[in-house]
Amino acid sequence: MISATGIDPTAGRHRPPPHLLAALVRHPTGRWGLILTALLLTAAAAGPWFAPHPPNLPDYAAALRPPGPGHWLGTDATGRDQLSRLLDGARRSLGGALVVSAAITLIGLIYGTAAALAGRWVDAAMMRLVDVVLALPGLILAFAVIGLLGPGYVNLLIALIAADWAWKARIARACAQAAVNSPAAEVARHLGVPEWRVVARHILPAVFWPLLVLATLGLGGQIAAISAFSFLGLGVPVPLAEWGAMLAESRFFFRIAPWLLLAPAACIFVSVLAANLLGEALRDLATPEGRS
Amino acid sequence: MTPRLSRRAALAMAALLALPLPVAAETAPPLRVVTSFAIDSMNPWEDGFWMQEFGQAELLMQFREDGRHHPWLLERLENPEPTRWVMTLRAGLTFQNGKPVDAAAVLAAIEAARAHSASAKGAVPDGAIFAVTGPLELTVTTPAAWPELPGVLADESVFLILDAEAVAAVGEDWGRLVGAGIYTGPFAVTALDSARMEAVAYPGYWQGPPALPGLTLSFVPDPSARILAVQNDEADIALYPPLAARPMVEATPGVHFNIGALGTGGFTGYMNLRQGPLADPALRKAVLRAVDYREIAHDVFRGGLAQATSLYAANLPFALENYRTDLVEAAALLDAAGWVPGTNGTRQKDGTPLTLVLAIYPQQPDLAPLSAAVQAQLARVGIAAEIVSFDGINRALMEPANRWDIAMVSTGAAGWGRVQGFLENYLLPGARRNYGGYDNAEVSALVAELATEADTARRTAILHRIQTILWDEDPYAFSFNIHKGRVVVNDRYACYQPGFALYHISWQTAPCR
Repeated sequence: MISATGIDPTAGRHRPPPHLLAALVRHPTGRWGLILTALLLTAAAAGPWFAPHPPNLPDYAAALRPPGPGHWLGTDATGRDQLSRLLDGARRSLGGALVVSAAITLIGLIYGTAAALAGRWVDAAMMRLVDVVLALPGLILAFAVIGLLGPGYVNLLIALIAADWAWKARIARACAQAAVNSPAAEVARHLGVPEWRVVARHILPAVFWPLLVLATLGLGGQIAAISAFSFLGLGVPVPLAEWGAMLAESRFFFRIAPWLLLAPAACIFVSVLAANLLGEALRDLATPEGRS
Repeated sequence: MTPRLSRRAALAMAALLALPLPVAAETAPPLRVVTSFAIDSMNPWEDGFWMQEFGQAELLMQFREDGRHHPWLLERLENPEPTRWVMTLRAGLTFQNGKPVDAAAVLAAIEAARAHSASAKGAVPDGAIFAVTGPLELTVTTPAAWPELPGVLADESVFLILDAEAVAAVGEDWGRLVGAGIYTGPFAVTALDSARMEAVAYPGYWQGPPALPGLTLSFVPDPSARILAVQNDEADIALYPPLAARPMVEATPGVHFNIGALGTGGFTGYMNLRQGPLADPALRKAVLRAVDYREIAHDVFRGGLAQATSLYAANLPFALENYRTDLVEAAALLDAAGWVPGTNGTRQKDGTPLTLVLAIYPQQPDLAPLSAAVQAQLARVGIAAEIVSFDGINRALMEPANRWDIAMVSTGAAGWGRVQGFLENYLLPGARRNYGGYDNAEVSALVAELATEADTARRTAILHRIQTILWDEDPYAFSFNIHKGRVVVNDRYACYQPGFALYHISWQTAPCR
């Protein structure tokens, strides 16, 4: 079975290459993905120190200034420095996407592996729950969770996790099932290796790597989702910066102050591009064929 | 000899031609208005109030920009003694279906509203009796003085003057009221669905033939879409544009962002006394003095809102105008209350930082820049603030589990010139909108006295005292600003001024010359 991402979850032979970083650097697209990701993560981590102005402090006398000395990316309608807000917002846009991707990977890994190991009716019951969640469109589910919890950044992250974990659990369960019955696991059991060690050495790694590749490929989608929900006012509270929220704030000014639209849009574009380049490279490196 | 115009006359004529005066254009096309709220049905008891805003229905009195009530369908309203009012109707009034509007018809409309409308039931004091005392005269008698009657008669949600007999005839099949001509206004409803309402001019209108042949009112919830509709000549007037859109509209040829007169409400702050640090009156006083009301009106909203000078709009005769920004006094109050500056600039007491939670709601987009501005203003005296947004603000604020310190809610403190409703609903203990648990015995006594106090001077004194208490002694509710009407219009309606007190369309509304 080949999934939409090109990963065969039943093969049970996906392992990271021995020198992952070097392999990524050698990969034609992975190299660029790595560079862009490093730049973005550096900007997000060091943003508060690099920001030339307080990101949330209004300066009404400087409202809607075009890019220039003092405000290299211009100012918004309340005179806040656009560059400072982009740097500050990077932590929420990128950090949120990383948190969501990590959480759904972890939940999917634990849930799917547990189902595969338990087998029989427990496995069946756990997968029926996954079927129920997968039957609901992710967007509708996310809106429903936000409706239940109320708008807010943390609630948005919870909603995105709730909308996306089931798919990862399904993949994890398929990978784990293949790994449980793999020759390596069978041999280990035959040699008397304890079951927890079989799980740790032979099953979890076989599940984790495909999920990691999927998570990286999905990172761009999570960045876009956080931005989209924030655009709708369901993400960060005012006056905090987030790229999608900044896009929403710019919509009334796009003809007289296009820099307000272009800068966060470019950041979202580059982030999604970086995640996709990196994800595709990891997918290629996930199989021996790709590695060669 | 060729007649010659003097220079002065020529200049006057040129100036007259240049003025964008409304034109009584017989050939003017129907007006196209886009608004955010949908009119759900022709049910006069629940949705009828929209009808007076768009020229279908009228009231007995009208609240105007001078802050006073003026007769509308009434010829005059007299108060010969505190417990008796005499209402005299104009002669020659008719409903759009041709039936005469006499005292009996008006009484029927009032009694029908009292029977079916929650607003009407709540507005009329117990024991009030309306009676026909002449062909065009009604008398209202009450057990105690009812000084709010002029405001009640001007309130769009209370007594719309309608053909009660025609309304009763349709039962609850409200769709049958389309085309039934049950109101008295210049435009009669001819179609209503979930997307739009259409109305045509009523040629027998009592003030004269309407200037427009009709109007179409489209319901478009998205503010950007409403503005684009005007920009693309799919609409003439867009109501309720966000102030954030003003710079872009002003930079766009062919569309105009018109700001109107002072309203009667604004964004009102309510402090939470049930939980959090604002239980301390000194801290509440400091907050009031730390807010920069001038900056909110002139810098944050660039004049799109008016500066709050008191709880009430400055055009109301009982406004005290006691607001001032004083950071030195605010800092002194905080110092005296034990909130000392911390190392990070935020004040603290016993190691607890002074952080307030500002509650806003997404349905009012202007609250985003307002709350951000207030957050920055409070920071100037060492008060940190977080902003939370609640969907369904009224319910959320009454829920004890929700943490908030200052709620920012758009409120009409004197809607249609009525002060009693706001005071009773927002300031009295146990009232349904007393979000913060305010309980001031003197204020409660003054509100009770005001309900039956007919003397204007004494009423003003009571309202001044309440405003003093709310600013100086036991602060709770305060205005961040006073609203102004605003619309986006195209060139044809460039002279259109936003209607005061939601009177958007009148019989004189017309394209500019």
